[in-house]
Parts: sequence; structure tokens; C-alpha cells
Amino acid sequence: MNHFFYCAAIYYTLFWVTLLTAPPAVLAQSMPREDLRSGLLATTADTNASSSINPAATGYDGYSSVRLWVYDPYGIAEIRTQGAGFSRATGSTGFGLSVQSVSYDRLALVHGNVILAREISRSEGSLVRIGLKLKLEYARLSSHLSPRRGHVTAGIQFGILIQILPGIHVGSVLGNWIPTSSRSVSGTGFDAGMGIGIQLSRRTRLLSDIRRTKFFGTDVRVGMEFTPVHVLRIQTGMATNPERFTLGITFALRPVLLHFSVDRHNLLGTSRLAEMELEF
Amino acid sequence: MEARTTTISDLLRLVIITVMYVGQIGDTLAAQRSKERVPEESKHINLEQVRIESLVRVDDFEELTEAEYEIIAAEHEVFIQAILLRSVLDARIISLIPGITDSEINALLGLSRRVRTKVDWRRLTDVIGVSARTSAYLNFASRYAKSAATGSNPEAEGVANKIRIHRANQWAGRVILRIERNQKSSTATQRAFVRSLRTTAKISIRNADFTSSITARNDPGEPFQWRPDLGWYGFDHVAGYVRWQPSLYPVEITIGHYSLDYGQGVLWSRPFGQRRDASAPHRSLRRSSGIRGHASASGNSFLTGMAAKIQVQRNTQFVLFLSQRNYDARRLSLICSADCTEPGLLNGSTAGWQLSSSDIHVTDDQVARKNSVRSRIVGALFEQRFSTILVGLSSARTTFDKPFRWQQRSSTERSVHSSNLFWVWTADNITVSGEVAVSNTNISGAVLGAVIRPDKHMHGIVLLKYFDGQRIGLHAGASGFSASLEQQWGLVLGWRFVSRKGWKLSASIEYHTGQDHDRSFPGKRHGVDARVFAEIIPVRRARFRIYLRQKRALRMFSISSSLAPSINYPEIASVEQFSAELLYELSPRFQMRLRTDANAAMMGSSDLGTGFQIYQQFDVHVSSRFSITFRASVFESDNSLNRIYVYEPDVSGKLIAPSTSGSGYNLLVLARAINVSGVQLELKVSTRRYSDTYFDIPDPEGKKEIEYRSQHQVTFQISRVF
Repeated sequence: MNHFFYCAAIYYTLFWVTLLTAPPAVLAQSMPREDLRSGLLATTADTNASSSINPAATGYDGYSSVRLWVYDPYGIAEIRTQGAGFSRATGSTGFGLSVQSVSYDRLALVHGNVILAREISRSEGSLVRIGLKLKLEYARLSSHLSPRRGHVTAGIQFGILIQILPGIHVGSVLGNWIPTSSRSVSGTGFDAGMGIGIQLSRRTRLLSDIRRTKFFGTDVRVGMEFTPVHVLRIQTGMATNPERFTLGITFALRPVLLHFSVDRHNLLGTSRLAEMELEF
Repeated sequence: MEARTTTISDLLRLVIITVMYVGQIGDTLAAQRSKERVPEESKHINLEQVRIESLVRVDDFEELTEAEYEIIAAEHEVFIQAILLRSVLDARIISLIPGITDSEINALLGLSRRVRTKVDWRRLTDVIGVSARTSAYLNFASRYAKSAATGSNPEAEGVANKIRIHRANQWAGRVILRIERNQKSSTATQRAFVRSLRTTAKISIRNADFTSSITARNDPGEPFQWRPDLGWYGFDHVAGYVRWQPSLYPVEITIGHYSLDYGQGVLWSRPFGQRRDASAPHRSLRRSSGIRGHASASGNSFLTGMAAKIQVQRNTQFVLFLSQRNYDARRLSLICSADCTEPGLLNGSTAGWQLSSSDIHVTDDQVARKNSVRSRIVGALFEQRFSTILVGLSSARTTFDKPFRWQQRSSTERSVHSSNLFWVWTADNITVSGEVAVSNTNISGAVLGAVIRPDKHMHGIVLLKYFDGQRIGLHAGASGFSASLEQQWGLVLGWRFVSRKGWKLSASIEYHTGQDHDRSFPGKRHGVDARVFAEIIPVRRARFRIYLRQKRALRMFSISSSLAPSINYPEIASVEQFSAELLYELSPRFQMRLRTDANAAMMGSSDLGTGFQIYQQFDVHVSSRFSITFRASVFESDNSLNRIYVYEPDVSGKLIAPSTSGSGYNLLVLARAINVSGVQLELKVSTRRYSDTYFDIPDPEGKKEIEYRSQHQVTFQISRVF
């Protein structure tokens, strides 16, 4: 944590100096894109890199989307991850669905999320949304002793998003995994997160959150999004657990959005994410 | 597809948002009820209408203990009663505002002198130099005092509607009965194996001249029995006092349990000592409040007997106090060998008696320890005010019937003579306070500090303190000092800025150094503890707080043996903490509170451990008489250094701050029904479940450790104000 604070201070000092003195193209880091697209962090925070989908449809008021992505964690060829998501916003209600599969050797994992969100209050400059996410995880570990036996673990998460002022969001999620079988591969655990998003200027957003996930423990993330021109967005960020820096770039060629990002870890190497989104 | 989505959304709305609408239904009901005429006879005071938490802003950053909370609650009650009795500005009433400082009193009285007429309470809240907390009390007072003065209710509905104006000779009071049930169980075996019940009863009554309060409690496993020889009168813990404070005579007599709150807590125990408040570091120097009645079943730093305060002249007071009380003590098992050099120990015999760490009396051993050492204290105190300077001097002699070892002392004592000198100098922009305490012929502690107010937005503090655990004066709880250091020095610097919008920014840093208490590896320790706190109010309905703390300690200890020269080892410990909290008022009847805490700690060569906590809380005021609080939290801490203490909503008059040991989640519901036929009912149900088996830490008295995975608590409290 301590190390992180010092790193963050140095990193963002450099970031701002760079931003002021160099063209935006030299920005070389980003944070995972799913946190940025949510605009609220917490209600969408998820345990997996690409399986989240925006439950409250924040920032997407009035339209829906379909997403497809491929994730390559740390360049390990044997691990294959792909996913698909659908989100729909109807008035003050949001609905989302996503599925992601991970396969590695004899292990197969499938994550599914169903999200329902509702705006409960809106007044001048402020709004409050709450969301409920149902998570399902199917794990199958083939072995000689118990061939092709799968287990399901279920989880539920409750999220709140408060827009205090235009451009300032605070969100929080709490959730718990419920064991459906004593032989569940991943076991039980708690998910929780709280974060803040601030629109610093017309082109720059700052996002930060802290979250605890079942698999990875406590993680603190800070990120920024910069929009030099309308069709281009650049994301940069860092996280503590594991400590990593990220870079992302989005081409918003509406109705199609193309997103590419990399996530650099000191020891494990680079992860890559490619995503295509269709808005309608 | 769209129709189906809409159906699902509707179902969600039904299930989740019902709670939100409950508040609105409550509004409607309250509006209807307000139209009904309230009979004059049924109007009465309800002190709990304004929660202490909301008025005093006792929040998670203030780090109060349960005993301190009870003291604040008692002050709160005294103040509210006082403003109901009088409707004009009065120095005595102002001095009763909980937590008020000398400088604030001077500022308020200064206005009073300038205006030279009756001052409207409401006007006082704008006086420069008055803190937000004091303003909150004055705002509260302005509403109630006005209703007292006119005899009519200034507000159409709500709190003030239920106030009956007490005349000076009228009796008022409150009775509380609280039952807590605690159950720990192992979910693996689906078996509840630890059940316990704690019962607390409290009665407080007062009129203009008399104040009295008594608390009785039986902890889990303690029977209801009558054994006067053990001081067991039905309840194991009984504490109470009666105070006579006639308006016609300049005396105040307290009989029963009491404590002396004079000086800065170096000699006479006081609830906060010099402990820092992250949001208001300048409160480390506190104002004396005189003789406090003690009616709490917790805590050990009180006297039992009689204290009489006589106002000899307008600026001179004299206090005489006598005490005879018993302590729970255990015989020290330490046997001093032939080379024992510690003073007070007898070779080959038991070294004396030591204060027992537990105040529970269930087993035979625990019962045998009850009241096993008796102390007698005779003392006097003199206080004189010269214009802007207040000086006090106290002296007392304490005797024990057995050789007794107090707190950090290594030696036992039968008799100690202790004295202190304290002073406060107040000017327009600065208050300088201090205290020197002497035990026998040695200086046992000293505090010297100044609070500076360059303008109405800023407060600064400089505080220098010294404390010697070996020469402690036998009365103080030594709050504000490091318990693990013996002879220690400390320096505190702090600053607070409050903007016109109410935004706050405060920062403080403390440096301390001293000899470590660990006798096995003697060494010296240097520590730095820095805190930053910010409160932002972006819009009227939202309040956002951030708290950062960094604590570092360097301990140099040496290992020596006859075979090799002594080697010095450095050991570094560090803790970093981050907290953020958002309070958001969706409507007057519905509030949300989101909070997260995270820390990272390291001790010596051990791995870096982390702690984490998040909660979501909803307060729904269904009507003016009924409210519900929900809280769900998730926590995780790697080891004991990473524990996070978070205050939990509880029944009124009780405060708990459970630590987040292990990992798991916690759910709680607290329901309050106010003024149901003049009675207040409160029910709290909470469940805590750990992801791993959790062990109760075994105490040094050999209690077995308890393994459990879940913990359920139910607290029921009924109280009536009369």
C-alpha cells in the first residue's frame, strides 16, 4: 500500500507533466477498460477482467449494446478466455447479461452475470441507482478419478451508485458467494468495492476504486481517461494487487466501438484484451 | 423481449425498492397524524428524539470507547435537561455543552457582555470561534429554549411536539432495561455451543437540585444473587451516584461513584486524556468538567465515597473528596528469586496484587478475585480564577490494604502521596493549558500545550507531554499515552481549517519516544503518527470524508549475554490506513452511508498484511416515531495489526466498535419505536459470519479458546422517560 502511494504520486506527476508538454499519443499506460466504460466503477466491479457489464447502464442512457471480447492473460497460450455481453437500457431501468469462459488444461470455468438496475432518485445534478447482480460460476475439473464432474457456485451482489454532482460519482458494491457444493473448485468468498469517478475537465476523467475479490484479495486502482478527439479515447492507470500498469485505446466509430488494452505485470508479463462493441 | 425485460424490471422494483417507498408511506402517515390534536397531557420530553450520534456527530473517526460514549451520553442528557429548565443565556448552561472548550465559552460570554441584554440562542450559533459541534448543540438549544420561554411549540410537528416543559422543582428521569443475547456457533456442525445473556438496568432521575443515576449489570454467566459480602446486590456490577446541587447554596455534594475531571488527565482520570481526534486535533487539550458522577458498569478509574465542592467566592472553589473502594485483583504469581532487584518485591514470596484484567465473575477464581483489594483516598483540591488565568492544585493520599501493583508499575505500593498543579490561560486568540503531576517526590507526568486561533476558520495546537509509567499517580487511566512505553516524551502538532461552506481539513502529527515496556528485550522506541482528515460537503445532502493515517515506529532493542557483546537490533513497524465515507440524504426520511477502510501493516520482518472493510448502511425514518437501520458489511484482515475498528449502530446509550478480525460479512438491523405510550423500544439483530473458523483469543487466566464460524446477537432495550 505504501509503495503504491509513492508510485501513484510519482506516476501522476509525470502523467500531468507529459499531458501538458507532449501530444496525447505518448501516453503509454491505461487501466482496464471495463472500469472506465462503467463510469461508476463499483456497481460494475467484477472479479474477472472482462466479464463485467454495466449494470446501471450509466453513461449509456438511452441506448443498448452488444459486446464480444477475447482476453489473453499474461501471454499464456494455454489459457483461452472469451466472452460476450448484452446490455439494454429502458428509461430508468437497466438490464445486463454476460458470459465468459476460461479454459486451461483440464480446468474449465464459465462465469455468468445477470444484472438488474434501477434508478431510484433523480434531481438536479444528482441521481441514485441501485443494482443487483446474480453471478453463477460453473467449474469443471477433469481428472482420472472424477472425469467430467462440474460444480456450480452462485453469488449475489448489491450495488449503489450516487451521482453527487454532475461528473462526480461514488459507488459501492457488496456481495457474497454462496456455496452450492462442498467440492466447489473456487470455494466461497466475499466481494466488495467502493470507488469514485470525477470528471476533471471536459476531456479528462479520474477514476479510483478499492475492491476485494474472491480470487485476488484487496486491490486499489487508479485510472484516467483522456479524449483528445471525439473518436479516440486513451486510458491509463495502475493497480496494486498485483501491481501493474495498464494502457487502453478506444476507437469510437459509432455505432461500432473497438477497444484494445494491455496490462503489464512485472513478473507475469503482459495481458491483452480486444473487444468489439455494437451500439443500437 | 422488451415486454419480458419490463416484467423483470417491475419485479425487481417490487422487491428492492419497497424499502425506499416505506419512507414515503411514513411521510404520508406522519402528515395525517400531525393533523390530529395531541392532548397536552401526553406531551413529554423524549431525550432520545435527537440521537446523540446526529447531534454530537459521534462518528467513526472519533475513536470513542464505550465508557467515553456513556459519559458523552450522560452530558448530553444533563445539557438537554438544563436548557429545558432555563431559557436565557447562562454561563452554567453553556459550560454544560458536551465537549465545549474554554475559548468557546469565552467567545459566547463575550458576545453576551457586548450585547448586555438577553441573547437569543439562535444568535449564538454564529459567534466566531464556536465549533460545529457546539453550534449543533446551540441550534438544538435555540429550538427547545424558545419553546420553554414561550410555553408554545415553535414547530408544527416533529420532535418539539413531544416536549413537556419541566419546572425547576419537577422530577424528570429515565429508566432503561437492556437485554443482550449473544450466540456463537459452528456452521459446520449446525450447532450453537456458546450462548450468553447480558442484562443491564439503568435509572436516572433529576430535578433542579438533585441528580442521580444508577446502573446495574450482569455479564454473561453471572447469576442474579444477593451476596452483600461480595458487593453482589442482585447484579454483579452496580455503580451509581447522587448529586445535590442546591441553587440557593454554593455547594455541590456527590455521594457514590464519581471521578475528578481536573487538569489534563495526568493525575486524575478523564475520559479522553490528550488523545487526538483526527477531525479536530486541537481538542487534545480539553477543558475540565469538575466532579463527574459515575454510573457505568465499565471502567475502573473512579472513586467511591463522597466529594464536596464549595464555591468559597465567585472565583474560588474548594473540593474535598474521600473514597473507599475495592478493586478486583489477582495475586501475582511472580516469585522473586534471590537476585531480584526490583523494589517492593519480597524474596521468595508473592510479589503482591495486581488489577485484574477481566471484570467478569463466573468461575470460582474470578469470584474470589472480586473486591480483593481495598483502597482509601483522602484528598483536597483548590481552584482559583484570576481574570483570564485559572490555577488549580490538588493533593491526595492513597492507601491499600495489601501490596498493590498499579497498571505499568513494576513495584507494589501500600501508600502513595500524589499531587498535581494545573492551569489554563485564555486570551482572545490563544489558550495555554498545562498540568504537572507528582507522585511521592517524583514527577510522574506533565502536559503543556497551546491552542491557537488566528481567525475564525482555523485552529492550531502545539502540545508537549511527558509521562512515566513507573511513577504513575495511581488514579489516571493514562489515556493519550502509549501503554507500551514507560518514561516517554511526546510532541503533537495539529491544524484544522473549516471553510465557510463547512468543509474541513485537518492534519496532525505526533512524535513520541520512550523506553519500551518489554523487559525481556529492553530498548528504546521512536514513533511518528500522522493523520490527515478532510470533510467535503459538495451539496447540502451529501458529506464526503477522507481519512489517511500513517504510523511508524522504530524500536532499538539489545540482546546481551555473558558469551558475546550486546547487539543492537532495529525493528520497524508501520501501519498505513485509508478511509473514505459518503453520507447521502436521499430524502429527510432516507439516508445512505457508504464507507470503506483499508490498511497495510508490517511489523519487523513479517510479511505485509492488509485489512479491508466496506459497508453500506440505510437509515429509514418510517415516521417520526419509527425508524429502521440496515447495515451490511464485508471485512477481511490478515492479522491483528490489520484489524479495523468500525462503530456499529446500536440501541441508544450503548456503543460498540467491533474489530474486523478474520474475514467475513456482517448484517444488522436496528429498529426503534419512539414514544409508544411514552416508552421507547429498540431491537437490534446482527449476524456475523466468518469465511474461516474464528477463534476467541484465550485470556491469560486460562479461559479456553472458542472456535466458531458465526456469531448472532440480539439486543432488546426498553426505556421510559418520565
